[in-house]
Amino acid sequence: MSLHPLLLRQVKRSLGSPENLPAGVAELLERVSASYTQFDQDRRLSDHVMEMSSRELSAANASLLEQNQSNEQILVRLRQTVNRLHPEATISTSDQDMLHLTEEIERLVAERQETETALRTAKDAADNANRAKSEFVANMSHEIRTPLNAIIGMTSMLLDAPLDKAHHEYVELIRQGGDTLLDTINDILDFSKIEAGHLEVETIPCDLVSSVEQVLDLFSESATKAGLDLGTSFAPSVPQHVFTDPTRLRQIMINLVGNALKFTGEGGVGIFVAAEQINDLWKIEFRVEDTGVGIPRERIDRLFKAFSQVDSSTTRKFGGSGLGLAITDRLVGLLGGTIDVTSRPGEGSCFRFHILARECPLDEIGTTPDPSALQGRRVLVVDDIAINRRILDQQLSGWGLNVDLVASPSEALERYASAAPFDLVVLDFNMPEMSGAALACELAKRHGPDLPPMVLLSSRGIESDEAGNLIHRRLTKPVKPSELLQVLGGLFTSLPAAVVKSAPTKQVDKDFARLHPLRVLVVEDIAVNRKVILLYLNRLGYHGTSVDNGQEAIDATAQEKYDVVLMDLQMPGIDGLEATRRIRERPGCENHPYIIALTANVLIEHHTAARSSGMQDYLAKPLRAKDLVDALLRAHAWLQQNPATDPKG
Amino acid sequence: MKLLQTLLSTEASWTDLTGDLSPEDAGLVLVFGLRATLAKPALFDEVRKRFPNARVVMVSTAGNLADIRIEDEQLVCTALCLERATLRCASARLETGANLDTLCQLLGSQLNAPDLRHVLVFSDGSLVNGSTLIAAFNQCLPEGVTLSGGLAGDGTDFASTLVGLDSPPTTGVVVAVGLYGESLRLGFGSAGGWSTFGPSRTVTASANNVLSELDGQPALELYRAYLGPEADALPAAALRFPLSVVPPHQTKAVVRTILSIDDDAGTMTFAGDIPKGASVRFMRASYEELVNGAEEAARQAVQASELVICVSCVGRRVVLGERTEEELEGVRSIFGQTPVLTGFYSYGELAPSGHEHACQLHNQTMTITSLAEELA
Repeated sequence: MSLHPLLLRQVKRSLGSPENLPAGVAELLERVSASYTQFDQDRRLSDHVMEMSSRELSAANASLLEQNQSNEQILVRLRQTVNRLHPEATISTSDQDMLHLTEEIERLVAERQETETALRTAKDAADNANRAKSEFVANMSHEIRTPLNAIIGMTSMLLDAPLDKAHHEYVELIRQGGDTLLDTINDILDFSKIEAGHLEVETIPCDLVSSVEQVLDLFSESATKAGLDLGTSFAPSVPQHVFTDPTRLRQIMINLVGNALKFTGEGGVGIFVAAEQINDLWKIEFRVEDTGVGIPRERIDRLFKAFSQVDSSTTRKFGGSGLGLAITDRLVGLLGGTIDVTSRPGEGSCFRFHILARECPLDEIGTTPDPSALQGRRVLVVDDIAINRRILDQQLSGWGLNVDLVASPSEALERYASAAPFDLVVLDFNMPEMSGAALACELAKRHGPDLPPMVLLSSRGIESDEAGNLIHRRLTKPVKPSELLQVLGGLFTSLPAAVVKSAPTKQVDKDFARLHPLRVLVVEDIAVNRKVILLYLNRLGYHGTSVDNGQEAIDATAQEKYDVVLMDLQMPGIDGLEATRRIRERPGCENHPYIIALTANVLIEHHTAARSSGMQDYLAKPLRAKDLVDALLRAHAWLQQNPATDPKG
Repeated sequence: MKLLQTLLSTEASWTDLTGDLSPEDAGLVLVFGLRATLAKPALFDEVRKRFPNARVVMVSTAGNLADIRIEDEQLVCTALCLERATLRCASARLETGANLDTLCQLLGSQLNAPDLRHVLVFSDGSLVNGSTLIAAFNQCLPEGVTLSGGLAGDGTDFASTLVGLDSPPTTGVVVAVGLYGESLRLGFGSAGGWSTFGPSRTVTASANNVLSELDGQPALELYRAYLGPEADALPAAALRFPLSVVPPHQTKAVVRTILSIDDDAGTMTFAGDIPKGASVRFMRASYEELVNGAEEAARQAVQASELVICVSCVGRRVVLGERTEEELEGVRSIFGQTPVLTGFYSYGELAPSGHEHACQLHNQTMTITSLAEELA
């Protein structure tokens, strides 16, 4: 019998040896012993479980404490953040309540979202209004230009008519008013383009000295007339060439110098240029100083704001849109700089601006314009001399053009027929079978008027030949690469905006029509414009006919034989392009009459569209008498070379 | 209702304990015994011989109850004869791959009748998932019909369990006894006496009634750590720490007891589902709490008192050990001296819970079904 040790001791003490106990007692003792053992077991298990449990709970407690500490830190930071976001928030630094803090944050977020929504709505409304404004400005500009065209044209004409002195003076004033108005509209358009972010700047090599000199040239005559000195000075450190946008740089200087001259009664105006190198950039500073009336201190801060002038009386005295300096300010910004002004009333002003630009290494000069416009375009080169072909191939390929070389006109005709379309054709003039000009005519004959621009290279320096307007540019050999790039680049990029100044018309030649007899049809939907053109023609001695829409133009050219049609492009119904296409469809009318496009758009795309519809030449509006004369001269020369074959004619 | 409670020794000798039913009048005999004893075919023959007209239901157990004593050495036989009420028995064996739902439906349809009042279920306790069994029965029994009973046991061996109807008992058998008639009075009680301790843990891996992980840790390791010196006695030792399980999205806890462990897979099988995401806590109990629990169950069931069938959990016996009979004394103290008291220690108790009629699977409880018959 094995008893629990405690029970065994107890039995020994009370009953003696457990061996000799009665059977009943022994059985009882065994049960008691089992109970002792079970009790021990239970106690041990209880102890163990308690220890395990306490260990687990301690660990859990420790992790909770840690969590709590980190929560407290988070709370502190949250409170700081909320207070920073919203100083009036009702969260005190002693606030320990995470729930309250959370509610407060939620409230702030909701508030912020509301504000954001309101702001976004307001911004959308403002954007819409701004878009509407830009469209309005563009529309208005167009609407104003049309009558202005008539005003400027008619007054120019009047000035040539016999007028008494007073009348002449009135008309001169009207013309000056028209010029000013045109300037103002151009300013407004420029400004709205800048505002809308539509104005892009180029980064091309720019000769700083010659840029400044060009500006001086522009004003030298008027300065001399006003008895003012005009000069420039360059610090030695100024690099000769930098990468920037020369057109915009000139525009800035023209604005500032024009202003300075306007407000200077005596003394003069100077342009001072200095430069400072910052890392790999040059900060080039221009100062336009004058000895004029100066600007009152309290007006200086409004100077560069749109539609603000120093004094509303200024407008009356000096004219101007009040946009010039605002535009200048934006342009300077686009060139990476800033502008400011110092002035002493009565002593003069100094407008100082700088631009940031990279210096242009000497070997990159003269590669204007950027050849990127030529990338990937296909060019057909026709030259019988192998070395010339090789030179042209290297140059043109270098600018990214895909070059097709042929050695003779017959090969050229073949290649053109099989491998068209080309974006450009470069022709040599002197070739054995036929001249480059004759080849151009042959191409036109075979493939209609829808030809790519053609450039004719000649060592004889001819200005005209039988190809007439089929040739875009005639270049004299040897052609400098820079010149070639300039010409080719110009063909594929938009033309620079021309500053239109209505100069007094020169004495017109009444004999012009007699020397260059032409039957001219004017197609123009706007009556005043029609009248202006007819008057111009009249003064040259022509008796032009006019119609006011495309359909009438088609009918008129079918009934009557005209040598030249001056065709407005934008007309209601059948426009100029469509009318030209229909005329060209008629047999015998593939290139007769000679059609000259008239449009206010000056982009190359319109030029191309005009050419592909079958037009031979192109005139920009507002029309200038000299341009018209030149165009009629070209038309006459071409018609001489290409007499009409129409049996009716 | 007439009753006779008697003990059958392994030598096939009878010791009548109480009741005046003559054996040939008996309609049903409930025979509870340890697996080793119950498996002797001679003893079934002896029961058959003594109660020639009765349906014989044999159930292996983890302890047999006769009155307030545990009689592990002998079979405890309780014979009864209903006077006005009737009974009908059905049994089915869970063949390999067979569906427990189908089995329960079959039993249900065999017993179903308009006057069916109650179904006593004695089921295999190692092959059958108690949760599934209950769900299946609840689905096929008409509303108002109650169900109680228990899953057979196998001492603390958890090897295999035997159940039989009118034949030597085998594994995988479910026996259902339908009780019919208005004269029947029924009482149910179920209570545990366990209390939770330690941190709450989340079930992170489980499949039906097989638990693998708690809070991302192997559940079996946690049990081993808690059992410490007792860990060698797994799985029986784990009965000391049943789990209180609150299934996901529910608030009411059920108690789940361990049935077996798989050392290789590191998993533990419970007598009921442990859904993933459930929140669980260990439970433990003192003698006093368990005895109080038994008394509480008796109080719930006290209204009907001729035959008291106690189904108590093997886990309670493991904890109570030498003092197990104290919970029987507790039950007797509530019911008084008159009713005949039988029952067994099981691997899962079936009884309606609280005010709900639907049967639930209980673990670690004392579950009581009390029966009486109203005489005309």
